[in-house]
Amino acid sequence: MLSTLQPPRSLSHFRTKPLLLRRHTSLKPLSSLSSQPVTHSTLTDQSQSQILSTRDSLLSRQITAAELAESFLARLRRTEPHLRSFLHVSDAVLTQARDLDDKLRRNEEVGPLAGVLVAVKDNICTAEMPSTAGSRVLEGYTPPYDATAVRKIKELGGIVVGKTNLDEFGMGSTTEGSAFQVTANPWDTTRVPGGSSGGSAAAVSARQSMVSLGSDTGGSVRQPASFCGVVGLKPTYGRVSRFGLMAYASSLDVIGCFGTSVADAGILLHAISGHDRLDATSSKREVPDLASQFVSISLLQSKPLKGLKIGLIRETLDDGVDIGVTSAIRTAALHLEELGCSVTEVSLPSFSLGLPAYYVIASSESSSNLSRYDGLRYGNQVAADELNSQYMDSRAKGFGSEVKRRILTGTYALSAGYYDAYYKRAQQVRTIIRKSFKAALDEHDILISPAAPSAAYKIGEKKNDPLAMYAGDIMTVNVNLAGLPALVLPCGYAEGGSAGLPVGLQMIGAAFDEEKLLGVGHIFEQTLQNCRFVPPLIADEDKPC
Amino acid sequence: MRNGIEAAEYAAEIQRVVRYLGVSNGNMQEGSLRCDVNVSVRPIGQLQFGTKVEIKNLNAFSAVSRAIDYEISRQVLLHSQGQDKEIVQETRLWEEGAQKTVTMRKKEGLSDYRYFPEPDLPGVFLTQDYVDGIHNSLPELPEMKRRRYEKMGLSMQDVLFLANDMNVAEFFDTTIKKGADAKLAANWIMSDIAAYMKNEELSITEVKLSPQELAELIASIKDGTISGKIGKQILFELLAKGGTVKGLIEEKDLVQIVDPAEIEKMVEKVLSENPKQLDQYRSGKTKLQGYFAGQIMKLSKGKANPGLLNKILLEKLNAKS
Repeated sequence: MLSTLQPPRSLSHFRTKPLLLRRHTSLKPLSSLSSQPVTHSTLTDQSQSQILSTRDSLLSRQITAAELAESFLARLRRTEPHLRSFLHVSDAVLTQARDLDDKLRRNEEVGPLAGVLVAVKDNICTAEMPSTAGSRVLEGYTPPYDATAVRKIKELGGIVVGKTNLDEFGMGSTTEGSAFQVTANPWDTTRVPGGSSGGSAAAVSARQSMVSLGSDTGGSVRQPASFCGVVGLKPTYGRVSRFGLMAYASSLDVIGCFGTSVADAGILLHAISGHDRLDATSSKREVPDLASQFVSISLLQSKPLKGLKIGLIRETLDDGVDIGVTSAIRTAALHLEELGCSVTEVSLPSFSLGLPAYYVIASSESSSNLSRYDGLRYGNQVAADELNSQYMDSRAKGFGSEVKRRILTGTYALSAGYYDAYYKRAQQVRTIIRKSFKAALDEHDILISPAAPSAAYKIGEKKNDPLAMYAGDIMTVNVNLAGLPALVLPCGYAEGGSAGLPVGLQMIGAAFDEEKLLGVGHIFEQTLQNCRFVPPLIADEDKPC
Repeated sequence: MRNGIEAAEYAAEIQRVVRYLGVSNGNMQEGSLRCDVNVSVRPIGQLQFGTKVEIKNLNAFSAVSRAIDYEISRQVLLHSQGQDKEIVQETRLWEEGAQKTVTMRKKEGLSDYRYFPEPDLPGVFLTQDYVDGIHNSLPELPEMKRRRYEKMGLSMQDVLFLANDMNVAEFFDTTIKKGADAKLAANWIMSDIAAYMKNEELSITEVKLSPQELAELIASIKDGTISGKIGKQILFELLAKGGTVKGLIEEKDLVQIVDPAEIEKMVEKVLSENPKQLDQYRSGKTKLQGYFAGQIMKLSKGKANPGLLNKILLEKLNAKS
């Protein structure tokens, strides 16, 4: 189904001919009467979409939801001692799976995410599970409501398998900032998974869950996707409601999706997108059908992306970037050319300004957003004789050092006498960056770059050097400043670990143009030879799926 | 604005407007309407504005007016003494008792709010339809009302009184809609009715008199059914107990006596019952006319038309007999 709202330069000029063979996936629940012929997927290879193959398997009774859930939970239990992706695992997974099996047996309608196991980053509120944002301040806190994104997943039949580890309040790039544990990268457990959505990325990479939700303020979905060899999708700001996402920087935060394939990330994004009355910044724009454009490669003509103009951002391939990364990206560029794209270098001179601007703006906004953690409304309180002492002690004890660092930085940047030099100036830089991306995207369909200047580094390597850690965000922050959508998908390997370390390609699109990103990403992924990006930790299984 | 009274009048008009709109009771004493003032002076001819001083703790319009005038004179005095540098940007408090502004105690630290544009609240876009809808739903605002009353020929005093309180204006408007003469209605409202309200500490919406009955009262006096004096009595009754003009007239038999024959009979009776006074009158004590008039009025139970009474009385008094 084509959406009625076409983005500025539609995909039609390079879509394959047999549109009629597109899968008629809609997100309306399909009846599961066994006498009805099962709608044939054009994605015949199950590795293309776990969500769709789950649906096929459940509806054709090849597997039950309980069996599927058990196999994931078994893998989760086996791998968790090595990975520590989860802060909380739900004890209701099998119950929900069995309820679903009952429904299927009664031939009742089930939603398009039925039986899909979803992990949720712990800064996203879930009503039945603790939500700590990786912080002592919220240790033991269970919210009274579900975030809108979580509610939608549940309404469509998804099962929340647990809450994943993160850098505290989303501040960090490794999960070493979590108050509770450090998550390990499934490709090499001595290395970081990236952050702040490290737990969500690791969970999907190790197939502990099928898909997961993360959040991305400065790259926190895309960088861990790159480090863990999974697909990470950051939607346009406003595409997904932030209601229930614990705010870090309100003008930059978005909820994003992880999957083992572009199709899964797209289907999950479609499920959670849309205007929400409870988030005044959520867009009223119609959401195009992001779930049904994933054509099987067997149906693609040669040069399926002919006519697509891709801009490779010159400033992202200079000296500061690891050779393993630049080489993987250049190879990816060649692959895109083989598919028919024209890839040209584009220069964004303001590119490097994004990092300082981001840190000023994000810190400033966080210094306001985190003031609500005062020990009075929710979370942990340090008793004191006097109100100010209570605030101070609760925060001193509850917040980790990185959070304190950013709050102090933000407070400084907003204070009288400094506001103009820091905050205001950073916002002016933001406007420049936004304009430069818009100009580049007026000339190109998609911009590409690495998602990080290196592959995953060792745990502990940057822990004591915050600025070095911040520097790793250079590839991702500009996208948040400009509010644009971006997709990261694994495109190659760099040296390290026992089987190499994955490197992700970042594709950046025009605002609200997720459809194009997903279309191109899917074709890129499906035509990548011999690349299935399964970490050695689980590669010995016969069918990790 | 240039002086205290301007500012106080402006604040009072704001109060009037918010009360008219029904968005606030505008009571300064309750804090529903607050007023902070900034004052600066500059020598005539200087283009650059002088240092401004903020004044707080103003709890009434009169305080606004006096504080401004005080502050103006304080700053002018400093200028005249060559000490204008002593005027600094600060917040001063108005001391009602001492009737002057004083420096606020210096605070330990400056309040730094660290404001930045709120990212969770995007821009609000108002459609022209929405704006037009609001515009069309506005009640008649004080300024429009005053113009309208002016056009009716009412004096400025009447206009200001009637338009000051929305409920009074409404009462007035309803009364004249029933056909009553504007000036008469204004007079009744501003004098007898206002006095009653003040005495009883009632607002116009609380008195039992309805504007329809006021109009009826005015009409009854105009067409001679009752005298003006009777009218005032009825008014008091209507204010306190309600009821209708027609009902009261009937109940208390208040119809004015306008038949000359009937009045003549009463005049003759009083004159015959008071020969001594009659003689005194005929000898020159013309003031006694009032005495006779009073007696006749009493006899008529107040119903005699005063004009007619006095005319016939005078005729009788001056007749030779």
